[in-house]
Amino acid sequence: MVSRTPLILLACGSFNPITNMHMRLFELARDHLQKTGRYQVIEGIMSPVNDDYRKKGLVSAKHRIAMAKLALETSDWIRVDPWESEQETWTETVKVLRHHYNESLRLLQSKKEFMKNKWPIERSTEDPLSYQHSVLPELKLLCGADFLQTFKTPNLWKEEHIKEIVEKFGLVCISRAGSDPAQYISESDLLTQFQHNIFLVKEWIQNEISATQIRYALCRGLSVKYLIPDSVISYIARHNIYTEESERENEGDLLQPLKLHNTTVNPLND
Amino acid sequence: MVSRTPLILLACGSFNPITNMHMRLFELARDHLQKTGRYQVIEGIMSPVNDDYRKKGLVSAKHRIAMAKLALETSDWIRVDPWESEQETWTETVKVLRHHYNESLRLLQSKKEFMKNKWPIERSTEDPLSYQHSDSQFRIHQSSSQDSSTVNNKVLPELKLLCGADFLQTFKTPNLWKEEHIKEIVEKFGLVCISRAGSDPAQYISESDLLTQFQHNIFLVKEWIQNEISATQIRYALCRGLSVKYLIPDSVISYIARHNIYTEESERENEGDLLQPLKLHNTTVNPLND
Repeated sequence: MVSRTPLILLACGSFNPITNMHMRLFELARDHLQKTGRYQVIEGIMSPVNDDYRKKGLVSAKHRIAMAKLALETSDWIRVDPWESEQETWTETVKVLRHHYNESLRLLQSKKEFMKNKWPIERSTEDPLSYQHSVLPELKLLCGADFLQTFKTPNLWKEEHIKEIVEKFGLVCISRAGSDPAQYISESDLLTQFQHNIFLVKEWIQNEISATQIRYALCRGLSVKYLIPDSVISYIARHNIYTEESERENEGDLLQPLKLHNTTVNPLND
Repeated sequence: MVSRTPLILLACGSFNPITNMHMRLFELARDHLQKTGRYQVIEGIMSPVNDDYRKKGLVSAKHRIAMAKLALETSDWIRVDPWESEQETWTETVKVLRHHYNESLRLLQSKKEFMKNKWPIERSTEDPLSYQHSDSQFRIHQSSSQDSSTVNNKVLPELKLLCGADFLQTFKTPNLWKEEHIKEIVEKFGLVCISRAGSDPAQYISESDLLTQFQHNIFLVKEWIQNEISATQIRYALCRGLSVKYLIPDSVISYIARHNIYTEESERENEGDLLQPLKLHNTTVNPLND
């Protein structure tokens, strides 16, 4: 039997609010990777961005985390992680990847300790080195294909970070209508070099639920039922989260990564 | 205060299976009609087609109704109605519209009877002749606790057919529709068309004399989310073990798994058969996409 590498998917984003489309990305990615025969997807992690990112209309991480938790109640493999949002400041994506990878190693290590203590006799027959190699998980960044294009935005990314992301971790890109990720990869030497570690997944349903449009609809009293989970709709109503006022949050501010690099590039669409 | 006409939305289709997009059609339509200021949408009805329609891959109405019920559990205004699927044979759309319209009148009538009996003093002030006119406006005095300030109880409710904009184009398919039926649908009832990407319903209307004549009764609603969840693709995915979570309700996914509804075998159902309406008209036109 060919053994599969355990794989963890990590998605970074505003999740402002979480939508059915965000959760679809995970489902699509898992189906695709399982079908390669090489991977066993063991976990999905959603990591909402820190408030310090300063994107226009970004509501408190407290709410964004709460909404994601509600939305993911019915999922048995995807969870939301607050680490990134709890840091003092905005954190570069590669550091979030490193953190969660180290966490997965730590978890694996403590599991192995537990096994060793439980079945000491087995220990002698194992080759500790091969055991380690056969079960080290991989952590890949899950994103939409337009995410790849943001690598081009001047001063948004550090070159060495992009390299680490595609080389050490890997990308799983879900393609939307109008995006041609394969072409974009071929236009970049760096991405071409590591294209074996960039998985392109076709979104077979046209399901463009933009969180921006959701917020727009909520402000105008339009229905968003069946686009985001009912539990999230109730939460938003109960706490009156999305209003004209909340949309003006951070208006005029530079995105934090750009501020750090001292430029005036237009912010991204999430 | 301007009073609004009560309005019922009826959607006919395979619902094979029901998807989040089907339910979105209702939500979009309601938002749009409420914003015109002229209507109060009081009900949404989903009417799954009869098995006798003989569309390829159509599973038993028993299942399609059950799935729709599960999906609509969390809706406080949309319901699924089995009448069409329970008829002996496939039923033309205009007849389904007539049935549900008559049902709404019957319901209204029994409510009025109830009110009259409850407050008999009011009755003597009514004009009995005007009460008897079945297709003219009723005059009803209701001292009820019902909120009559937004809904105009003096007029009959309207029932409109809710559909995707590509539905309009099926009027062109030879022998699929009777001309007098199309006329009755757009004149007596009305259409609420949700436009998908790639559809230009306004243009299609202008190309048809009949539709142009009744364009005041055709409401075009723009789908602001690109949400093309095709039931055909859902069935395809289910057959191949791909995930459809977040595209259709969890309760429907469980139901499908429990009853093993969508398989390669179920997809072959009615393979090679003509659609029933076409068979009735004895032609060999390609079946519609739902």
